[in-house]
Amino acid sequence: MKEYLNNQRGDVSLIVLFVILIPLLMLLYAYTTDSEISLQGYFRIKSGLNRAVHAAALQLNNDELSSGKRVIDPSLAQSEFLSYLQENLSLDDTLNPLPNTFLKDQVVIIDFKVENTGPFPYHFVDTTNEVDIWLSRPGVIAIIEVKYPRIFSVLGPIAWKVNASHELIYQ
Amino acid sequence: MGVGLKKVIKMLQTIKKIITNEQGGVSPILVIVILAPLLVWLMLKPTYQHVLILRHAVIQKEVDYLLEQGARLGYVSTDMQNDSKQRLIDRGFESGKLEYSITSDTGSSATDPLNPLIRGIGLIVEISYPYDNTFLIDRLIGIDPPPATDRLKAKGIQMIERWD
Repeated sequence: MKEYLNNQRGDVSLIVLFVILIPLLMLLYAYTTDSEISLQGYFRIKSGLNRAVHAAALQLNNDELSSGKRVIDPSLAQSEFLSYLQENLSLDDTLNPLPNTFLKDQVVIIDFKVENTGPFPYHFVDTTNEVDIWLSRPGVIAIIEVKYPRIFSVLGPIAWKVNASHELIYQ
Repeated sequence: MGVGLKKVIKMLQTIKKIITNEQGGVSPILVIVILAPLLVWLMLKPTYQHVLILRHAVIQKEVDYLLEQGARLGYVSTDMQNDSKQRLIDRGFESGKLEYSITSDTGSSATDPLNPLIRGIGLIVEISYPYDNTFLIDRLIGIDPPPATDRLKAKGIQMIERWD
C-alpha cells in the first residue's frame, strides 16, 4: 500500500493529491455556485412579487371613488396580482413554473390580503411567517412560499417565505 | 521482420516506463496528463461562473430600475435606454452586444415620451446579452458550449401608474 501512496523519494504521490484535491474542489465549486445563484434568485423573486402587489395596489374601486372614498377593488386586485406574479416569475395558471425557467416547484400563496377598512395606520403582524407591516392607507399584503431549485445538492433544501406590500396609489 | 518486432518491443517498454513508476504503480506523468484538464477546469470554472451570475444580476437590476422609472412616467425613451446602456458599459458590458426590448402588453409603443402609456397597461422591459466565451472552458471536460445565439436574459413587467 505504502509504495502506491508514496513515490520513490517518500513524498506523497500525485495520485493521492489528486484524489483528495478534486472532490474537494468540486464540493467548493458546487457550494459557491449554488449560494450565489440562490441569492440572485431570491432578489428576482422579491422584485417580481413587489411588481405583483404594485399592480394589485393600482386597482382603485371606481364606484367608491365617485362617492369620495379611495379603496381597492379586492377581486380586481387579486386577478391582477396573480397575472403579474405569473408574468414576472414565469408561471402558468396553476402557479407551476413554465418549462425551462428558473423555478422548478409550484409557488404557494400563503396569504393575500387587501386591507380597505383600517383603522389606519394599520398594523399587520404574522408571527409564524415573521411579517410585520404598517400601512398608512388602504393597501395590499402578500406572502408567498417559493422553493429554491438547487442545482447541486450540497446546500440543504431552501424554501423562502417572501412577503411584499404596497399602499394604494393615487395622484 | 525480426528488427521490426524488436522495435515494437522497445517501443512498448518505453511506453511502460513512461506510464509506470519504479514500483509498478501509475506514473505521475500519466496522472498529470489524464487529470490536468479536470484540475484546470475546476480551478477556473468558478471564476467564469461568477462572471456569468454577476452579469445576470447587473442586467436584472437595470431591468428593475427601468421598470420603476417607466411605470411612473409611462414610457422608457431612447435617452433612458442610452443612459442605461452607459451604466452597463461602466460595469464592463460591450455596448454593441446589449439588446433592449421595451414593449407593452397591449402592443402600443412604450418608448414614446409624447404618447406615454396610461394607468393599467403593463410595461415589459427585457435586456439581453450574449454568453460570450463564459462556457468555452467546459470544452476541457468535454461539454459543448451552448450555441452562440443563446443569450443571457433579464425580463420584467410592471403596471403603469400614470393617470391619463
